[in-house]
Order: sequence, then C-alpha cells, then structure tokens
Amino acid sequence: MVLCWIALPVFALLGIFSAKYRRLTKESLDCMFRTVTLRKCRSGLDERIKGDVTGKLMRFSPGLAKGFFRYYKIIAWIILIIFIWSAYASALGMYNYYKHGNCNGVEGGFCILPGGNDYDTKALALEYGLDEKELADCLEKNRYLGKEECLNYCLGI
Amino acid sequence: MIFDKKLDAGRIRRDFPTLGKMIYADSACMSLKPRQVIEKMNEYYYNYPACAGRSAHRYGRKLEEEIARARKEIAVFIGAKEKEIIFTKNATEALNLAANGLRLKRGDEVIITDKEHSSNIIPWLKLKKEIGIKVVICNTGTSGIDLEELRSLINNRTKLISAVHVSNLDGMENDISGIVKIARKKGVRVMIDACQSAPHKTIDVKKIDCDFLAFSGHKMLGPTGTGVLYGKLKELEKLGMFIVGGETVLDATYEDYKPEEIPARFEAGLQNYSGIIGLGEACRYLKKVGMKNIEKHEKKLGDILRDGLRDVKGVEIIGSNSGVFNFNIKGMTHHEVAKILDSGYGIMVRSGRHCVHEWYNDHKIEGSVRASFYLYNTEEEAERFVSAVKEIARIGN
Ligand SMILES: Cc1ncc(COP(=O)(O)O)c(C=O)c1O
Repeated sequence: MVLCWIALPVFALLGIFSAKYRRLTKESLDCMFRTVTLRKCRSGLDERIKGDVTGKLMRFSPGLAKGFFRYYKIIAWIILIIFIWSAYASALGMYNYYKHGNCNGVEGGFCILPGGNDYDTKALALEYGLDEKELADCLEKNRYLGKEECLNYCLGI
Repeated sequence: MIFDKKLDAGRIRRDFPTLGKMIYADSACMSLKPRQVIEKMNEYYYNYPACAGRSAHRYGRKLEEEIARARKEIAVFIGAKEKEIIFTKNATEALNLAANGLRLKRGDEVIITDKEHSSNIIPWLKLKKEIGIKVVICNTGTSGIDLEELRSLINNRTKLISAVHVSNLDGMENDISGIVKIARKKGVRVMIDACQSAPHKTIDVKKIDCDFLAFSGHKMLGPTGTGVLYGKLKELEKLGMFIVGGETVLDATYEDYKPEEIPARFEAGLQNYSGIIGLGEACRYLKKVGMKNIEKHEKKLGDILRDGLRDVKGVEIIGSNSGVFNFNIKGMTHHEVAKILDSGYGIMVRSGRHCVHEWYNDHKIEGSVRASFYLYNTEEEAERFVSAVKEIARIGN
C-alpha cells in the first residue's frame, strides 16, 4: 500500500525518539515488502491510517472525509510523488551546497542554508580574473550594500 | 436491588471512572470495572497482601476469609455450591481444564456448535490431533442450535456436548435447557460456555442441570485474569487434575502424591487473590443492580440498534441479539469502520473475527465490526452509534 510507503520514512524519523514509532516503522517496512512482492499488507496499517484520517476529517466535513476515503489512493500517490521529488530536490541542494557553497549550484540564487553567499564565487573569480578567497571575503563584508551594489563593488565594475 | 424496575444507566455510570464522552461498546471482549471492584482489589494489596491457605498469620487468615466470601458470592450468583467453584485465570483455562481432565480416549466424540469461540474448539481439535477424538459440529441458525440435528448426531461414542450459551459473534442464544434434556436422555455430559451469558442474564446451574459451566470474570465487571469453572461435585470428583503442583496435593513422597480436596486440587500455585476478591465484589454489584434489569436494559439498547440500522443502505447485518450488533459496511473493511468510529465519533468497537475464525472461514467473510453494549451504556449512546454508522455508510456507498 502506498500509504505504508509514505508512513515508513515518517515513522522511521519519529522512531529515533519513541519506541511506539519504531514498532510502526517495522509494520510499514513489512507492509512495503509485501506490496513490492505483490502480496496484501497483513498488519492492517494502511487500513488504520486510512480509517484514522477519514474519521478525523469526518468531524469537520463528511464530504471531505468521503472525498479522502474514495480517492485516497490517488491522494497517497500524489503525496508519495511530492515526497520523492522533495527528497530528490533536498539531496541535490545539499550536494550543491557542499560543492559550490550554494544550494542552487553554479547559477546562485536564494538558499536557505547559512554561511554561503548567493554567488558562485569560483566561477565569478575565474571570469573576472580575481582571487576566489578575496572575492568571497569582500562579498561577505559588504553585504550591507545590497545585492547588486555589493557585487559591482567587489568585481570592480 | 438498587434499581427495582428500570435500570438507571446514568446513576450506574458514576461508578465507572473511565466513562466520559467516549462510547465504550466493546464489553463482549472486556467490561469496564466499577469503583467498588477496583477498591476491593486494592484492599488486598493495601491491607492483607499475603498467601491464602498456607499462612496461619493474621494476613493469611483475613485473606482466607475474603477468598471464601468471594467463592460463596460467585457460587450464589450461578446457583452452585461453593465446592463446585474452581478459580482459573480465564474461561479458556476453565474449558481446557475440563477438556483435559475428562480423560477422553481415541474414538470418543465431542459435539460442539458451529459458532464456538476458539477457546471451545481449539482444545478439542488439539485432543483430536493428539489422541484421536472426533469433533462433531452441530449447526446453529440465527435462532440457535438445531436440536433435531443435535439429537441425530449423538451416538454411543458421544462423551460430551460442549456448547456456547450466548455467542460472542452475534449474541445468538442457544437453548441450553433443550441441549441438556437431549443429553440426559442419552447419558451424555454437557459443558456450557457462559462467557457471554453470565454477565448479562441470570444463570442457575441447578435449573440448567449442566455438568460443567465456564465463564470469565473480566466480561462481568470483574478483574482481568479471572475465570471460573463450575462442575457438578460428582463430575469434579471424576475429573483428572490438569495443572499440578503447589496447593494441589495433601501430601507427597518421592514416588507419589495425594490430591487435595475439591476444589483446591484444581487450583494450582498461588492464585490471583486480588482478582478473585474483585470478582466476588463484581457479582455482588451485578446482583444489586439485578440481572433481570440488566437483561431488559440491554434488550432495549439492542432494539434501538436493530430498528435504527435494519434498512440502512450499505449496512450488512451479520447478526444482532440483545446488546450485540455485528455488521459490515459495503465498500469498507471492518478495520476501517472501527477506526472511523473511534477517531471520528469516539466510539470504541471491535473489528476482526472475534475468535470465531472457523465460522468466518466457512461463511467466506473476512471479518466484521462488533458493537457490544452493557449496563453502563445509555439509550442516547445507542442512538449516537446508529447515526454514526448511518453517516459512515454514506461514505462507503
Ligand atoms: C463465548 C466466549 N467463550 C470464551 C471466551 C474466552 O474467554 P477468556 O478470554 O476469559 O479466556 C470468550 C472471550 O471473548 C467468549 O466470548
């Protein structure tokens, strides 16, 4: 069941802190293996999650609950795809951050992670014939000037 | 009787500390416990937490008195003599004690019904595997055991009829007086599984005239880990010992032992003393409320459930009698329905096969949802259950 696939990493993470979630992680793992081998999930975890969510929605809106219950497979697939996509994007961001000092790689742009600046200093230094470290220091020191002015100043434009 | 004509569930509810806004509808599995029972159990741990039977000191003597009092209370509750009451840890142990003590031989036959709890089928199937007894199944419809069929199944190898009184699956009641009447004519013993009847209706073993009767304490407001096997004295004298050891012998040498008196010879080792005392208190409580009142009250709740859900689209009723309602909702699994009832409506029910696997397999039903109401449930709760199931049925259909 797709629900178990989504539940697995969530429970695995929570399982670091609580034995209850470690048990649920085991259940979702078992469920996942059974799904992969085209067998029915035997722990009933998927049914429990589905029932639990439907019940909770029922308190607010029976229509919403009905919608979830009917289309939970599609909803679960969408969540799974978003989940995989965001995991991929995060991994890529981490790689870029490690490699280029910015989540977005060579192009630069907004990055939530601290420490790095918005530019690929290596590429800029190469292009303008400057020392990479000096350029990075300059950009860091003169952040207060604002993005564009700081860049112009450090590149000597 | 506290409540003479009409059971006042509202007043009763004050005795049950866990009751609140949630609806507890799983009493066929485990009943809630009133404060009186909990306090009685604590009394043992606070005031005389000793051994019964072997210690002559004041704690031991006090406990001995309390155990005797509980045994008497329970005996009176089912119309038996004190010596005929054997304490076990649950009904399963009680049924196993009888099954193993009857000293059945290869070829002997035991008749059971098609709606037995695992506890009254697996012990017999085990004996079938181990010593080659024959287990014969008698059908029950929606209205109980088919007595004609039962009569036709008895032969000179039949040693016992072991039947459930009230089914935990759907609350269906077997005509146990009819069973005993037929059995007596053919010289066959009868054992009754009264797990679902002792908590809900008057049981009088003298009137029923059965040879053995088993029930659990935890389904009748008593503590967990308590059960009872009633046996007619003359049957208990013939019954072999099952679990043996401390407290089951009067004396022993390296070669032999002399069994204790009845019932001590069947109660091996230190017992669940607080549980036994608590069970005595539970019987006292039920007696005060009045079994007739309880029966009437549950019938009324059952009527609300049946009338409310009989013709609801998508609701498939598997069986419903008294306060038990067993059903499925089209387009949903039983576990899903149970979860929705819990998380959406605060209603606790049981889903699955209710330990009657053979019946579900035979009827090719995966499982079902069972709601079981008891003396502390109110008519308003039954109505809330009905409207919740109606709403859920609309989701599935
Ligand atoms: C009809 C019936 N028989 C036997 C049992 C087993 O009882 P215990 O749990 O006390 O062993 C049950 C319990 O649900 C039951 O409902």
